[in-house]
Amino acid sequence: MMNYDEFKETIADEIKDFLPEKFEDSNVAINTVQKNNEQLDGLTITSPDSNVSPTIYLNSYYESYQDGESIEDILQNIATVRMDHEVDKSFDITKITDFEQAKDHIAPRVIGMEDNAELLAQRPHSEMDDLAVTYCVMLGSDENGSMSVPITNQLMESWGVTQEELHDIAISNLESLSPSTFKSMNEVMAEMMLPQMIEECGGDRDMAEAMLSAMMPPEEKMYVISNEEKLNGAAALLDDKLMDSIREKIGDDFFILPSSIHECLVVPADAGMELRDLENMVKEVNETQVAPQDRLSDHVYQYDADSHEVFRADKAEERQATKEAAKGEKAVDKKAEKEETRASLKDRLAEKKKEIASGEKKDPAKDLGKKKETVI
Amino acid sequence: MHVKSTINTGSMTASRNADREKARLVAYNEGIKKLMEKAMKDAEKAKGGTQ
Repeated sequence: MMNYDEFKETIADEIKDFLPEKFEDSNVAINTVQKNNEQLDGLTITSPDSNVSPTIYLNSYYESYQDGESIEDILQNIATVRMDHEVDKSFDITKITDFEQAKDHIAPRVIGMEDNAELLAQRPHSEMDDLAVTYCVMLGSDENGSMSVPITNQLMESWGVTQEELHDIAISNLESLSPSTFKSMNEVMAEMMLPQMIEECGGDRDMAEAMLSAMMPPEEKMYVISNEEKLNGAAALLDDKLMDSIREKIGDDFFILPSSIHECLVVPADAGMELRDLENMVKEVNETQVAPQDRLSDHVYQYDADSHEVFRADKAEERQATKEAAKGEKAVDKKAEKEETRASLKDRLAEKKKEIASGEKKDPAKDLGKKKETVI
Repeated sequence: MHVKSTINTGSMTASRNADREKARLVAYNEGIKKLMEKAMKDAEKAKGGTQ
């Protein structure tokens, strides 16, 4: 059996034999692609007259190989995927390289920082506790999904803009590019499961609704924030309007569960659930149900309405103490400033007293003259 | 199967994976349901204790 490096080499060497003649002069390459929380090996087969090519990730094909699939079958599958995903050769690259064209399509993404150090080293980003905000250019959607380009340090430099400028642009585009949504978990579950349940109940909607209702918690205490596409919807955390509307609906105090980079869950802090239990649940669901490329974080968060910031709930006390210390420092600074002013006033008064006592009082007429001079 | 379209700037086509979304949301729904039931029981116990 081949090891992974030998497997990749064989794929690159042999793939053209499984493709039609028009691919004869194509360039075959395997590149490491940095994804959310993971690295994948992407195969590209690019025609000489094209600047666009689909990337086919080899990692899952190697798993199939290890499971016993023959290398010939795998090569045939890869060739089929490549032919099925032939893309438009006339892609206009200035949609990305020309900042004037790109700027209205810049959108934010929220990912976890913990396992993304390498990815973040290549991309401009801002930090939100242990979450990072990165940016991309949205190029539109079709039946295959939503197409976007991640903004790298190199692209940002070529545009001549700063990370702060990118951030402001991305936030201001959020509403138009990917409108945020805030729904109850019941609503989301109904959207997701009711059609299938009705089918399973032989078309009996009432029965399906009763089954769904039995699955739900006794009270409606969980909400889902995302965007209309339900893709990279954790960026809705950056939508101040949305966060304010959540505060209006369920109060200031709520926990944010980072269910994935595509959506987050919100539960009111007064629902009686312990933070520790919520954290354990997030960790467990991440380990058992969330694909690495969808994972956002293992922590639970809260929202600071004053600063419009998301922060880790387990660090709330620490954060409060830092805030109070900063407030205290400011107060001390102000006090010191006041004391300094008071001291200099005292000094001036003492000087004045000395002047009067020694009879060195200045001639007021002289001063008046000066004043006049100044006014003139 | 992982497939994406790419140009040399690394563009990608992402599509919603409804199965993965369903798996994690159902798991959270179950988890929250359990925690809420636990919270209700604890509250009842506390109520009983103060009576």
